[in-house]
Amino acid sequence: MSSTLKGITLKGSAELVAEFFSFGINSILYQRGIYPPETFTRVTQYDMSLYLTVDPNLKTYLNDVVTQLKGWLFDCTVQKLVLVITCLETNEVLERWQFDIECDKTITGSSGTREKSIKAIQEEIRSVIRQITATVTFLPLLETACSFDLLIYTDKDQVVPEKWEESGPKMIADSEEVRLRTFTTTIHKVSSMVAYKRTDCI
Amino acid sequence: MAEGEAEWELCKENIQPLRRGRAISALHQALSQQDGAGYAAIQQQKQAFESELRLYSGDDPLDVWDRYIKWTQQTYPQGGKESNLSVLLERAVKRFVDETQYHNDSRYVNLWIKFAESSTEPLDMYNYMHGQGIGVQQAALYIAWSEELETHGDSKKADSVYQEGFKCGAEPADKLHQYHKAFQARVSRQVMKDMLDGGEQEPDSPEPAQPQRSSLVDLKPRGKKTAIAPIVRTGAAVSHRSRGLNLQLPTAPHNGHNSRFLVFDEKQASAAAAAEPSEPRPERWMAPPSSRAKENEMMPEKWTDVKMPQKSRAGHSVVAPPSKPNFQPYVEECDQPPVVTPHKINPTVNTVLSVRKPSKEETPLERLQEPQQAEGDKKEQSMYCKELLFSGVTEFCFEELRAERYYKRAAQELEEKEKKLKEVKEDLKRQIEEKRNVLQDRCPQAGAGQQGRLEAGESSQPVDCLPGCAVSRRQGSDPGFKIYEECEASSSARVNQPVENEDPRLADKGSALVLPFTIFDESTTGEKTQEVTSKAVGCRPSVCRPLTAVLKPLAEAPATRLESDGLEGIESLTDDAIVSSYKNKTLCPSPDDTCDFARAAHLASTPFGGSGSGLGASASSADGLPDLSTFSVDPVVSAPTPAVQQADYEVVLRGERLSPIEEASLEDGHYSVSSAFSGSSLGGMSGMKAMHSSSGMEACPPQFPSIPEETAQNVEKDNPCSMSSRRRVLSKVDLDSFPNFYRNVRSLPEVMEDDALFIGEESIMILSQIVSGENGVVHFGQTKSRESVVVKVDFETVPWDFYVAAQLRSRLGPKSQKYFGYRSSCFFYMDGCITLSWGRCLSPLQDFLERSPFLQVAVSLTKQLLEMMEQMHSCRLVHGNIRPDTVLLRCRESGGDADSVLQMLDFSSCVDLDQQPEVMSAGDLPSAQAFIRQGLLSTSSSPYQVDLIGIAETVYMLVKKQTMNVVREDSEWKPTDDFTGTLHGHVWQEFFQKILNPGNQSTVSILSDLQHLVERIFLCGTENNLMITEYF
Repeated sequence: MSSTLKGITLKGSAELVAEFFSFGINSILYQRGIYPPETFTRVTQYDMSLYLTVDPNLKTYLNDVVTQLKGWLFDCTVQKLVLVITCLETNEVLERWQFDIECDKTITGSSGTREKSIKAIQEEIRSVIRQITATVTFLPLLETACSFDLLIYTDKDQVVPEKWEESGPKMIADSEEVRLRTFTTTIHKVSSMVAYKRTDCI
Repeated sequence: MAEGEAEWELCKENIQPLRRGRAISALHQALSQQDGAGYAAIQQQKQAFESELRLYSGDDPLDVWDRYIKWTQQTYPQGGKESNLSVLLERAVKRFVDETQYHNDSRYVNLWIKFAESSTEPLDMYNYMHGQGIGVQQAALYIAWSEELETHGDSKKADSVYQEGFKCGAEPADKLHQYHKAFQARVSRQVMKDMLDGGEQEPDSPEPAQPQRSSLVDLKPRGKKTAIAPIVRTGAAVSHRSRGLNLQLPTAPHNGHNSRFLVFDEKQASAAAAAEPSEPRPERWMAPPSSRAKENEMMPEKWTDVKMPQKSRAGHSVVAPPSKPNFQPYVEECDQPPVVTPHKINPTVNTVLSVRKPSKEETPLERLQEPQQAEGDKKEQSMYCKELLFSGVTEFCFEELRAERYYKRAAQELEEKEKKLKEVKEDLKRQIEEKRNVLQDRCPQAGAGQQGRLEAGESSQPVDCLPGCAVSRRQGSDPGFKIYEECEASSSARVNQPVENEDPRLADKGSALVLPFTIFDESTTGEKTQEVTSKAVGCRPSVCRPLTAVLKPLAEAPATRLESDGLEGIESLTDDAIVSSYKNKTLCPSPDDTCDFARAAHLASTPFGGSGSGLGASASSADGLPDLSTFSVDPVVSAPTPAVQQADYEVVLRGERLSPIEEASLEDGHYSVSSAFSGSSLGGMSGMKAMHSSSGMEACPPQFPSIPEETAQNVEKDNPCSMSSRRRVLSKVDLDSFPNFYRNVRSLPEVMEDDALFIGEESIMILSQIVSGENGVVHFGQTKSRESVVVKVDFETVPWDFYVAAQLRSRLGPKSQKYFGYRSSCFFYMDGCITLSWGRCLSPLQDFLERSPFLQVAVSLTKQLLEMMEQMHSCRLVHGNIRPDTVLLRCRESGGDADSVLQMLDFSSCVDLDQQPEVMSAGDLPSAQAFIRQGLLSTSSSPYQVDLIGIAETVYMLVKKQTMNVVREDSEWKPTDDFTGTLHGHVWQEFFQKILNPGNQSTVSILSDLQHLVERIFLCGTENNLMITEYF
């Protein structure tokens, strides 16, 4: 939901970022084949067609995460969001998508707006998602059945909510890393990067 | 990776995705080099691989191919012709097709699979592989095969392939299971969907509800005459070439989703589709392996003899190629009937097929299977290394092969050379270490000046050895020459070696002596010196005799013998010798040389004016260079050589001095004049830089140890503080035997403030100047090890301070440490000496006085001063000049009472009554003259009393901060100021009364009495010691 106001408030920024994550995660799940393609439906967002899952369980899960994330974004306590793709059989981490979130803490609760147009932000988000799609050029094929995990890095004193638990970083040993684009709403800045397991190619 | 640098994103269309992904670094490198900059590097790398292919001599040639292909894949992301990937693959595959060891090597199998994927008919490949037994143990084969089948829609067959794989026990089994499960899931999903979507539709023959628009398919042109591309791009308008069909297949499952893009289905799209029937005809390919023997052909032969199988419209297959009936030949695709699996297009419509012309190209598989017809004939046999040339992808030429071999050999040789050099280096290092150790052992106490560079021979000579012996040790038939050579050698080895200095100097003398010999021979004088020297020509030791005379004092036994010679030498300074020798001398060998000319001018003119007057001690002098002193012995001046010139001049001057006019008057006081000579010669030479020569003169008096005694009586009382008398004293003492006494042949180094001074083994940072005078400069310094030193630079070669300090220490014993420091060393140069005294000093007392110390402090200082002088007097040393600026304040280093805060700075007025018995009364001391004039002292008072007065003045200054004026009252001397008003005034009165009127008491007792007196003030004082400690 794009804000109709001219400036960006903290709340508005949190919403934008959460929205991005919602679509972004869905795209990655679709791209990498974590879920079968037929479980996705096409929607239009950011002036391009993206895929959203129709699987009810997945949908609920993702919605919960995104809501939680929105709250944390508003509080400026979240630092990173990581999507980890692990092979089902071997429990090995094959891919790791990391989104770093920088929050401008000088902005307080509801006061203050920043000047940036929604369009510009959406443009940036679009390029990020396009780039995610283009990573197929070098990402190895995920041939095995995979599962995914969502990790969120928050401030130390953050209370762990009910449905969440503490976890390790799930890094990939001997990985190739590629930095992707960033976008910023002037309040939140999101930069992305993907790490994948280095393998011998045929 | 900033946003602008995502080249991979910009070129994403050009990058073929790899199954296993790409390394992003290689990708970047490849992409960034597309403008040709890195082209050379790539070519180089390629060349390296190619040569490796040819020159590989190991066990695993597949490895080279494997790496090469992988590198190619990464380096050429877009694939394409320039990568030669397909050629590479084909070659690699063909190369090892017969080597059963690789049949189940995963690398090889992967190569095959890659090869198959990039070919037009992968299924055929897989079949062939299966038939050949290549990769039957590898799960990868089955997986790839069934994936291919799955893309073709033949799930049944795909499943059977998996089963086959399980049956054969393909490895890794769990991977096979995994994929099988996934496959099954996919299939079941599909079936479910189909069932859900439309039951009436047969799952196998989906007719799309609407004709799907196929993307990227060829269009069949409409029209008979002119080909017009159809507008409608569905249905019959689409010409179904191989690819088109393939693209159709995936759409089958997605009936209801028209909007689905096909682009995402890259998995299937990447495999080049084959429209040919993939009928399982396993039996066809099960040719016995033995029949493959003939396939082992690496050389690319012309395939001109290969016959194309006949095509028939009927579509019946099997036209056996003429040569090999053992297996079913490959059949052209266009001959095949439509596949079993359903296609969208009605297979009976063959119009499409008819358009296709029989292709003349051969698929790689065909090539593989076709027999090598030339094989059988063996008519041709290549006599050159055809295999090597062609074994890679690109053709090599002979030169390239040769170059590779050459480079290899060169690299090998370089390696060997390096190894050898390293060994040699190690060897040399070891030798140096050994030699060093040997040297260290040999000269453990060689003193600070020893350097490891010494030749072992030199260093082994003890200090006291006769120079004669030293010379004699050097073999050589020709003494003159040998000595000269030795001189060179030793002088080259000579670096700050005070101990060794004798030897080089000896050698120097030796060399210098070479030439004079000739002249002596000529002269007809009967001087003993000549005899001596002429004797010297023939006999080596005698050459050295005069030399030793210079260096060794009376105490040395051998020296005595030589002294006599020296005496003779002196006596030889007669008129005749000089006058006669004059004739033969060239006064000015090179008139252009100004120095020469100046010298000659001196010689030519009448005796130099500056010679006659006896000079005082203000002479700069160098160390007694024995060689020059020897020349002072020789009245005859030889033909000047560079080494000898100054000596010549020296001699000449001497001769000058001893000109007939003056000679007589000087004769009596010969030796005293000789001491005056030092001054005179110096005076005469002041314009010259002949320091050496002057030192030669200086050395003269000390030569004759027995003489000074006489001269002391002969000559009128000499200033005991003069340099000459001191030198006399010093000559009696073997300076070299004092510890920390170092002789150098160099001239005095420059000592500047805030500069570093490298002296001996010390490097000292010169901090500030304390005092500077015409005779010397005193600095504070700090050594490398953070010890504070007082650096006294004397411009005269009389290390008097060092001597006095050493005497104090030796006479007082450990007591001396309190006031006279614990360590000092002296560096003796040709034109001066530098004395270092350890001990942290703050400032002269003078400076301290300006800070108006407390009374208690003054009292403490007084006491210390008294004690210090008592010590000095007790060992018969008169200081002679106690004033606030000759006493230094020191930092308490240990903090205990044992340390004092005073240190003597300057002993320059000091007189050693032990060694200078001629000083018998105060009248002899130059510093006492002022007191004598004042009346404080009489000429006959004890010399010690000078010190008492000095102390009195200093103490007065401390207490009253003004100079003392004395007045005589009641036959007693008193300071004008009465001390009546001051604290402890009566004590001071008594103090001064005692000190100014010593009478005939021994100063030592007076001083101790005074100390007790002063202590009383201490005891009266409340804080006494504590305060003093803190103050400092």
